[in-house]
Amino acid sequence: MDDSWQEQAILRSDKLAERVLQSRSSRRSILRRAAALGLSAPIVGGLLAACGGDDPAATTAATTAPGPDATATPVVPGPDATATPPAPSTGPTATPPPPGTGPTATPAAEATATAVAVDDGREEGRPGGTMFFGLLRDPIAFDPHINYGASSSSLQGNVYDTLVEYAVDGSLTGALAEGWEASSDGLEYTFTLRQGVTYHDGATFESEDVIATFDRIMDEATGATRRPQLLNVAAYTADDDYTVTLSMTQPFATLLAVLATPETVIADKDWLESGVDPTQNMNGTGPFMLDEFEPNVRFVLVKNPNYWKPGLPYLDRIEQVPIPDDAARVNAIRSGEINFVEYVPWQNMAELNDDANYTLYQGFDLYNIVRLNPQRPPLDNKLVRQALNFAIDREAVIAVAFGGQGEEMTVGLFQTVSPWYNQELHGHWTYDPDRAMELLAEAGVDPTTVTLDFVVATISVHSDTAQVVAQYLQELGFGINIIQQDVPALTERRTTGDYQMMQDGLSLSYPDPDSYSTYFAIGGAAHARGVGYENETLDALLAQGRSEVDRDARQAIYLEFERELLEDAPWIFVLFRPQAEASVVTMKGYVRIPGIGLNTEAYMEYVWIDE
Amino acid sequence: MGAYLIRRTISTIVLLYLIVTVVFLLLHLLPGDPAMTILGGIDANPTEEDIARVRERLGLDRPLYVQYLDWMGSLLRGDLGTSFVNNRSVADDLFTRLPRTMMLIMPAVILAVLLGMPMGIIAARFRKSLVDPGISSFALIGFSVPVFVSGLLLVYLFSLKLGWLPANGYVSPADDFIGFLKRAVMPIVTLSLGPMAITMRMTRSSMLEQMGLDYVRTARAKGLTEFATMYRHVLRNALLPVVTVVALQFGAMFAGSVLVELIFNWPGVNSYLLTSISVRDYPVVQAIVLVIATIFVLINFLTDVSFAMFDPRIRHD
Repeated sequence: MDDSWQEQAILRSDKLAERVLQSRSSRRSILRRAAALGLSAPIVGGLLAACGGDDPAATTAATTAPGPDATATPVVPGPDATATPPAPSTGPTATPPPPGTGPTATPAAEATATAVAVDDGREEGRPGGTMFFGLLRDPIAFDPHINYGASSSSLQGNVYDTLVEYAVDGSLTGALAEGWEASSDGLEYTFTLRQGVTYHDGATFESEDVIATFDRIMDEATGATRRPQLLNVAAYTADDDYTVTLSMTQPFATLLAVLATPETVIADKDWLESGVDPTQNMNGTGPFMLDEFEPNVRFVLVKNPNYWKPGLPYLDRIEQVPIPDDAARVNAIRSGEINFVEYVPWQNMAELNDDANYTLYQGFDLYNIVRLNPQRPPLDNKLVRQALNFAIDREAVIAVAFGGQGEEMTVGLFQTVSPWYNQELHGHWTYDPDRAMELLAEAGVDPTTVTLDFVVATISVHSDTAQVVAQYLQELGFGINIIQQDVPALTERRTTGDYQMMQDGLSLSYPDPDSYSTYFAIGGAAHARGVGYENETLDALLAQGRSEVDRDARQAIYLEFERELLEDAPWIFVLFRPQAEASVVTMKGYVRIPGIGLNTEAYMEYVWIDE
Repeated sequence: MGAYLIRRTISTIVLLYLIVTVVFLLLHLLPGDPAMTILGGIDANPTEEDIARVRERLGLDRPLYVQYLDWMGSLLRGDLGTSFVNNRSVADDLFTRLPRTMMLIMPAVILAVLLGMPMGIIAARFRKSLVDPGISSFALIGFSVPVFVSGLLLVYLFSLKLGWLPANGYVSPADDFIGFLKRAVMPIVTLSLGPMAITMRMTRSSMLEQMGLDYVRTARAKGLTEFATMYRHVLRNALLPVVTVVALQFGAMFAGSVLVELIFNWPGVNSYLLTSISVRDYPVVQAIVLVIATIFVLINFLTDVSFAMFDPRIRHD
């Protein structure tokens, strides 16, 4: 095993130890902890992950980078009509995009490195071959409008299509909708649907299917994942067989981004009404058709010969095999049992990246943060919450918990590469224990008299972070009581707000700053509702940003939003952690789409095998 | 003997009933709500109304004793229920998966006995040579090394270094028998190491105990060959405790196979149990625990009964 990351981790934890030495902890205990984290993580992590359920943060992965520009000006993309059919005789001359090379590689860099590119920015591939795809976990069910985690999304995303999807550069482009037009007030979107598209059962795709899909999503009984985001849509009507109009109650800047999420795929009206169980069957318009499956063993997708993107997909077959154990998943690709794997454990990233036989696709799409409950003193005081943010050495956390792979979170939920990143605020959160002590003094809180309950899931990518964060809070004098629980227990606590501090790993619902509203708008389902967090300034700015259609005006609104967010410090903002897929080097065409991270797995039609 | 059988049968049934009830209560008292898991897991944010609707559909809004009586009722009718998560029949999935776990456990027990007993006999017979410490240390290693270490070592050697066997996975023996064998051999060996070591040590100590007894001296004195003394007299008497241990090991292997199924990605009943616990799929967890407990209890029951048949002292206790 390449142990450079370990050395790096130890070196950095040396530095951590130096700092910590000034107070009570001994240097040895820190090193021991770092070593224990690094060395035991592969096995323990695997076991915990398997026992504790899915990796949470993964469900709707998404990042940053050239985010979708959801302005309301008319856009009529001609997405894939330009993709030339494959030419097997000549074969590709293109060199593969370089894999992510450690923390500095950005997905965007990969995308621009293609030598031969057709008009959609993608390399031309060669048809044939089978992908053996190692999943983190069993896709438990297939309901097209419910998110069951990333492993399910990769299956549904390749069988179904959305109205709108992401191009390789991260911009939004037409899919089942050929194009769209927004009214000047931004209250109406008219979608022109693609003609000649058929479902896997032979039915024709028409506007009534879009209506039936919306009916299903808006029906409370479905429990559709995206229903809350679509409540803005007041009416949806079919103007003719290939035109659909959506009317909003107020301008809604993120509509297109929501329509590109894998939970808004279009299903056939007759099929939905036939009484078939959509959790156990699939019938979409996508590049692959569900052939057979056995839970926990394999899910077989076969090529859709009538797919609407000409010449695609390249692969004949995708066999998905759930391999929940981290070590087993890596062993499976190393022994050749599978040729594509998701959720590469961070301990194996450098090793696979350095190996000429594999290609690593890395991003930093997930953020590890600590939720703070403003109802539980002393966290009701924003000075205390700010102090906690200044108490953490983020670089050291990344070094110890992720072997140095990661990005410090010095502002909010957007990475530095995102077009939504506010450079003005860069470096706001720093490691400044003196400042933290001053803030605590100002708040009149003596940390030595306070014990904080800290809930964390039994998943190593969460609990390792929590251990180091706890260590730093102890340096201030706080007592920390770590409570480890499995994922369902943690989910319940989070939903009901039953915690003081909670370590969590999350991802953006879609690459737009409106994602903040799911957490910090009053009643925001993903955080504020649970703990009763209310900040009227933030709430007003979010409403303003959602209904503003001008890109620059929105950026200004979210700059102001982040200023207030940093002032109020509802969470401890910690780090962006590494996430990666890997394939054998002969597999090509998988390019992590900037902004959507792991959801790129829904774009397997572009993947091909060069052999 | 009849009275003994009846007594044991009743206590077995009571035991099963208690297990099933305790599991039901534990599961429902465990923090974590199946409705929240069904509504999308850790990243979903269902409203209270969403949660209430799902709880109602699953019958979780009813008082606990009603749910309990309802469940016991369907059990008595032989109905194991349907999964909360995907509406599949629990019985169907369970009885697809149980044989796969048995396909690991049965050969592992046989392998453990076939290798463990002869090793124990040899170690006992050649106690004064270097053979005994050799075999005994091998057994000590087999007994002390946890399956996730021995399993990963096997994978490292035979899959990653030598490339002889697939690292993990499963294919149905009906589809591809050779492929099945290739994937089954490492988990079976991993699973058998511990029981093999225990069988060896049990055989050895039991043999040694018998060898010191008077009847052995008598047998030798009347001129029997060493071979006949050992195999016709000593071994036969030494086997009884070994059989008990093997039977107990069989049950313990269900526990051991949890990790083995994980390491080798074997879709048996234990991985089904783990997945179901992690989403709080109550009907599935209850059904699996019930079935595993029944097998465990039945094995013990049969062991006890067979002992009672062999040894009259037991049934008069």
